[in-house]
Amino acid sequence: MKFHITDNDALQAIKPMALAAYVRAEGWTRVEAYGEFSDVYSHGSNEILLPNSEYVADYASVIADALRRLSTFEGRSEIQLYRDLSVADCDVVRNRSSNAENDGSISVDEGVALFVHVKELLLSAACAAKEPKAMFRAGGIKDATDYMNRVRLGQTEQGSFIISLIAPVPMNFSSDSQGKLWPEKFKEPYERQVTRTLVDGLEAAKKAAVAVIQGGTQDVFRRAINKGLSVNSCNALAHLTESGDGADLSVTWARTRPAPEARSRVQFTTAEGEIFREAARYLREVEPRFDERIDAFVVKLDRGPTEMCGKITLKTYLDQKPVSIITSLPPSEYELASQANNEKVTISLKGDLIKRGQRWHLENPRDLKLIEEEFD
Amino acid sequence: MKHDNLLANTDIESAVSELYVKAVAAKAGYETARPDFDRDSIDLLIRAGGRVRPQIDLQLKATMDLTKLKCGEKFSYQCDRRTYDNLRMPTINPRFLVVMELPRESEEWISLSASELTLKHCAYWVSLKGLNDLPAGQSSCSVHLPVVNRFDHISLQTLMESVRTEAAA
Repeated sequence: MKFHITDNDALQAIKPMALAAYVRAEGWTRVEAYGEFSDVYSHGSNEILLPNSEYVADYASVIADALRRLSTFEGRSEIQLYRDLSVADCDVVRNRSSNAENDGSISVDEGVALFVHVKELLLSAACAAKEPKAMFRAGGIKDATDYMNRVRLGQTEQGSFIISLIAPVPMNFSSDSQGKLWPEKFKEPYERQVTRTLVDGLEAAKKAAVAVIQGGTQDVFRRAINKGLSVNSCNALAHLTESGDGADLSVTWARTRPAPEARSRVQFTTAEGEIFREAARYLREVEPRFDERIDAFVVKLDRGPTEMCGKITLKTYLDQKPVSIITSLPPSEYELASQANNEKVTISLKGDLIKRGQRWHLENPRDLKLIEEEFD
Repeated sequence: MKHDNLLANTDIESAVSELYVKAVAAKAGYETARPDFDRDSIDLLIRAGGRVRPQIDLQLKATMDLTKLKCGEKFSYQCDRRTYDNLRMPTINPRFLVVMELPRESEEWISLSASELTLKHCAYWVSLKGLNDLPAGQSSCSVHLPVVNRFDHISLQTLMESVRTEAAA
């Protein structure tokens, strides 16, 4: 059965740049201009007219005609073609969950969790693209937050349960329409760096998981941080693989910014989910946590009679677990800590948390203050 | 007198004008098609073959009151605002207004015998591309169709060739 797309708004949503990039990638070549607002493309004996401006009154009609001709040429439905064209100027991140029912549906809770964790994966890549780190805090990197505000949620797709995130990426003005090699990452716009970091991180995670299964140590995960792996992405992967009976993640690269391959894909098994959960715990513990603010009780004070600085031990919770933290304070802060200890009040301070052996240490302590408890 | 007419006279006027244009296009050797959906007041499109394969989009009207201006060189036709606006905007495929003049008596619109099928009178074309905005609140305006712009197979071929030439320019 053939369907034709006739909805004006839907046709207007296909952008001229996306359409031109699409047909060029499919082997069509521009022959000549057709008037002021369109160009003729050919493929063998086939010709097609494509608008180069959206600001013409018959834009939708010309797009409808182009869709029909392309659909016949490719032997694909207009709906399939439309789906590709409407996102041809974006990188599309997809996750296919094989946990769906026969009709392609999924439970509400599972569906919501899938969206949350795919979004978390992309957000962690957006953070890592700015600066690779073991762990990212929510809202910690403004560029990443701004980027995520521009990412759109695509329509879910049939055929198991597929969700997609549509990530914007600037068009490549280079005359080399089909890249044979990836450009150096730092030369790419930030938007493309994010999606490349996502794929690099997923591939690094896959390799690390395989290495651990083959007897390697967890240190492989620490080495993958530079590729974009983090506590956040490991947690998201753990959830996706465990709840979705494995995960099948892919990025379809924008045709307006061609890549050496049309699509990059990484698949994970349910069993690998457990490895990622453990990797997240490992990375959280071994990696320094910079600029962390903690609220804690002072449980031990230690300063020699001739020393100016003093060492204190704090009790607090990290990641919902009780921990002891050791730090060294200059005289004035040590006096404040001593006062907090005497009065049994909480202190708040910032610093860089580093784990050595089984002990947490707070380096560069600063901004120490007492927290006055308020009672009714 | 039959009483099972399905079409009103205005429907028949439209059908006659479409028939006329299709007949002219066929004589010129061109393909006609109706748009799949009513968009921008376009009733019929005509496509030619050859290089660039030009296409023109037509808005068809029929009237029994096509009045000639005093100069004798132009007809005046009252055009509604929506049609006027849709025909004057920039487009990829050129748009034209085609107005068919019909006899006053509807019995004369089509006559048929064993030897001939006759459509009385003829149609004229005009391009409204680039004309000015109408003032706010004005619901229609007079457009002028040159008498020399008779819509026949020769003028259609000339029109199509000029579209092809301008498109490739």
